[in-house]
Amino acid sequence: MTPEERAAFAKRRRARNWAILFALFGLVVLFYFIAMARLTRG
Amino acid sequence: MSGTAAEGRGAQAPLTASSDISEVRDWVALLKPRVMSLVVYSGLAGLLVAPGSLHPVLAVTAILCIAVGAGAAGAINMWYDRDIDAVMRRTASRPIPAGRVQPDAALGFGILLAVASVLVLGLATNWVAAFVLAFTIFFYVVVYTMWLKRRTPQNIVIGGAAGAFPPVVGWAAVTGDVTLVPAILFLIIFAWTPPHFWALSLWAHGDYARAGVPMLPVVSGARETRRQVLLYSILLAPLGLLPWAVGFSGPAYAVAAALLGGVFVWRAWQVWREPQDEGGRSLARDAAAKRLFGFSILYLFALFGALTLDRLLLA
Repeated sequence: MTPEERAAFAKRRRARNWAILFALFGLVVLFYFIAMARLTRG
Repeated sequence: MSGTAAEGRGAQAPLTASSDISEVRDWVALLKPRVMSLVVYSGLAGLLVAPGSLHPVLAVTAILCIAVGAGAAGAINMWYDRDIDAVMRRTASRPIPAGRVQPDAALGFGILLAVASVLVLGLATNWVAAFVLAFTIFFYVVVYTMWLKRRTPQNIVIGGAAGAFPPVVGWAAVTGDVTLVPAILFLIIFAWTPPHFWALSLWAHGDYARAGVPMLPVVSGARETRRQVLLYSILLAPLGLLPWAVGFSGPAYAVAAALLGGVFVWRAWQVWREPQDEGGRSLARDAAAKRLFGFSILYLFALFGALTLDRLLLA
């Protein structure tokens, strides 16, 4: 692997990690709203 | 499974470097967004016409789950079909055959989204809806993609059931059950699928033949395909009137369904009567089949739109 390829690989992995973090955060927010909606309905 | 296609399995192009944006685009492409739009629309229609109400947050979540579940099934389908996708012109540029996404990663992505969509739908609404969604994904991936698609020219007829379930999921999300009306919505999409796909396959059969997929025009010829398109269209037109016949919708819907069904049969008749050689191959660049394919998409959007408007505004 050349230094350029290694840098590109690291960049892609960092982007994927951010995407997973956002997805998990989105899921937490979604579960929060689902819980609130279900509680509201009693 | 065809030799040509089977030999291609497992042999992928090496991964190529891509920018972050195009990588995101590839993962989105795995979810088959164009198919997803129709699934979301019919699922939303099922949810809106169902008796009862759902909290807006839960309704949005239900639609999100239907979309993600359909996308997950699409991603697993692309993983399994990567060998035939590579030899078909229409699909060769998909992320896996083009070497932009690793097959195993696509499979993991699909399974993760499938499990997540079913669990979230169950928690947000009810487990009947979650079960129907899970069965839909199973049907599309296992029954259609893995079992029927490469074995029988009836693949679309039976496999089309997978695309007919979304309004049932939407309905079940609100009511928690599956009754006559969602079964009718299922039947409409079920009968709509063969003429829709066979119209496409009339001019794309070269691709399917190369990949060894036994689509009807490849196995039985274009003439028989035209006949089947017409027969299913004649079956579909009265099915569109069933919601009115069982008293679920009013006369405004009935008029819209009758008009749309009539145009559908007329378009199918044009496909049947199009100038063709003795084998049924078009002498007019498949113009009639292309018109029917375009109209079939409009038909489903308009029919479900009319049903939704009839229920929400006129009932």
